[in-house]
Amino acid sequence: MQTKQQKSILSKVGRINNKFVYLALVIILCGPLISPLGLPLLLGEETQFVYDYIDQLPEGSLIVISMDFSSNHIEIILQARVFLQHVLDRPIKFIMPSFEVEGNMMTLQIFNYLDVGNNEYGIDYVMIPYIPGGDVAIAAFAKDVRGIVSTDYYGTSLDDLPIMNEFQSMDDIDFWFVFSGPSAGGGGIEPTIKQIKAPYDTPLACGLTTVQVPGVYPYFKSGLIIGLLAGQRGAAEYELINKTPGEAVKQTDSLSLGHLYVISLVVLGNISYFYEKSKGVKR
Amino acid sequence: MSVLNSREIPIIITALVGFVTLISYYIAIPQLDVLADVFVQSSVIIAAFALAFVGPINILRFHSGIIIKRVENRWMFSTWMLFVMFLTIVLGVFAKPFAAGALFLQWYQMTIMPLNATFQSLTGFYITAVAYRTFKLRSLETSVLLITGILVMLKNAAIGAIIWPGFVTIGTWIMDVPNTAGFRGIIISTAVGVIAYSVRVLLGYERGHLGGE
Repeated sequence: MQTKQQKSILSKVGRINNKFVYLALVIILCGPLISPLGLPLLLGEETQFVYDYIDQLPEGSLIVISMDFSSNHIEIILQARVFLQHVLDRPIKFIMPSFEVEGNMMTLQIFNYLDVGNNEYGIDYVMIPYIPGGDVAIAAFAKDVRGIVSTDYYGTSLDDLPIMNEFQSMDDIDFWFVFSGPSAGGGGIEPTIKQIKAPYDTPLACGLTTVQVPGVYPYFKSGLIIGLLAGQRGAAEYELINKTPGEAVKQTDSLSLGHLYVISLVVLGNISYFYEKSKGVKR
Repeated sequence: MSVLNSREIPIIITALVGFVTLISYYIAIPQLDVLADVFVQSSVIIAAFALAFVGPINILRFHSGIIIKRVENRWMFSTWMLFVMFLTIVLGVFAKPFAAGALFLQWYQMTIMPLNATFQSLTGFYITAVAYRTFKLRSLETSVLLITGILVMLKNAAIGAIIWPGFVTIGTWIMDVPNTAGFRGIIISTAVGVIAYSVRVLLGYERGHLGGE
C-alpha cells in the first residue's frame, strides 16, 4: 500500500518503470536519425591537431596506422572511415598492422566504405596480419618487422611489396596513428607510447572510445601524443574539418539528446530522492 | 627431486631473458641486441601459440565437462558453444580465409559484428537505467562525482554549448586540470608499482607466474 508521500508526483518521478525509460530512450535516439536537427558542433583542438598533422605531411611520407580495435567499438569504426579516407586522399603511404585479434577483419570491413582512388595496394598501402603479444609484438614490429612476419595479410611476401622496401627501420616512419579499443591484451595506445614514442620519439596520435579519453588525456596534455579523436564526437569533428559530413555527424544529434535525457533522468531521480528523504519515506 | 621439476630453472630463464632485454635497451652491445631480438621475437611466437591452442583447449576442457555431466540448463549452451568454436576454426584455417569474399569473413561480418554491436547497444540502456536509479547526491564524494560527470557530459554533447557556452569552458577545465592531475598520479603510481613488481620477478622473489604452490 503506497503512502501519501509515495503517491505524490515528486515521488513518482523517481519510480518510473524501466519499460518507459527504455522506450523514451529509443524514441530520443532514433528521432534525430530520421529527422536530423542539425545542432552545431564546436570543434576540439585535439581533433584539429590530428587533421592538421596529416594535412601537412609531405608527399611520399610513410605512416603506420595500427588497427587495434574490434567490432564492438563502433565509435572507432566511424573515426577510421573518415581518417582513412583523408589519408587515401593525400599523397602519403601507410602500413596497417594489427595488434588486436579483430583488427584485420575491421580493416577489411572499413575499406568497403572507402574510395581508394589512385592508391594501389602494395605500393601505397599494405595490411600486415595480426601479430599477437601486445607490447612485445609492437616492439618486435618496430625493431624488425621481417623477424616476426614474412608476408602481408594476403600471403604476399613482404619483399615483393614496394611499400615494405621503404620501411627498413623506424627512422622511415613519419607518423604513427593507433585506433585503440579498450581491450585487455593486444595493442592500444599505452603499449604504443611505451614501445614507439619512448624509444623512437615517433610522432603519435590515436583514436579512442569516449570512455578511454579521461585516462589518455594526460598524454595529450604532456605532448606525448599530438592529438586524439575522442569517440563518436571526434569522428564527427573530423568529418566536419574534412568537409565530408557523414554518419558521425548525423549521429551527433542523437548523442546530444541522449546525454540530455540521461541528465534529466538523474535530476528527476535526485528530486524524488530528496523529497522522500525529507518526508522520511523509506525506499 | 628431478631437475625438470625444480622451480630454479624457470626463475633463471626469467632472469636471463629479462636482464638481457633490459640491458640491451639502455646499452648498445651488438651481441646482446641480437639475443634480445631473439627473445622478443620468441615471445610473439609463444603468444601466438597461447592464443591458438591454450585458449581453445581450456574452453574445450571446461565445456566438455559440463556436457558430460549434463549440467541442467547449461549443457546445451556448452554444446552450441563448442560447435560454433569448431566451425569458426575450420572456416578460418581451411576455407581459404584470405581470399576475397572468404567464408570466414562473411561468417565474421554476419555473426560476430552484429552480435557485438547488439551487446554494446544494450550497455546504453543498462547505463541509463542504472544512472536513473543509483546516481544520488548521498554524500559529498558522490555529489562531486555526479556534478563533474554531468558537466563533462554537457561539454561533450553538442547541445551543451547551445544551452550555455560556459559548459564547454567548465568541462574543458575539468579535463585539463583535475582529470589530468588525477590520472597522472594513477599512471605514475601504477608505473612505479609495475617496476617494483618486475624487479621482484627478475630477481626470483615473485613466483606467481610459475604456477603451482
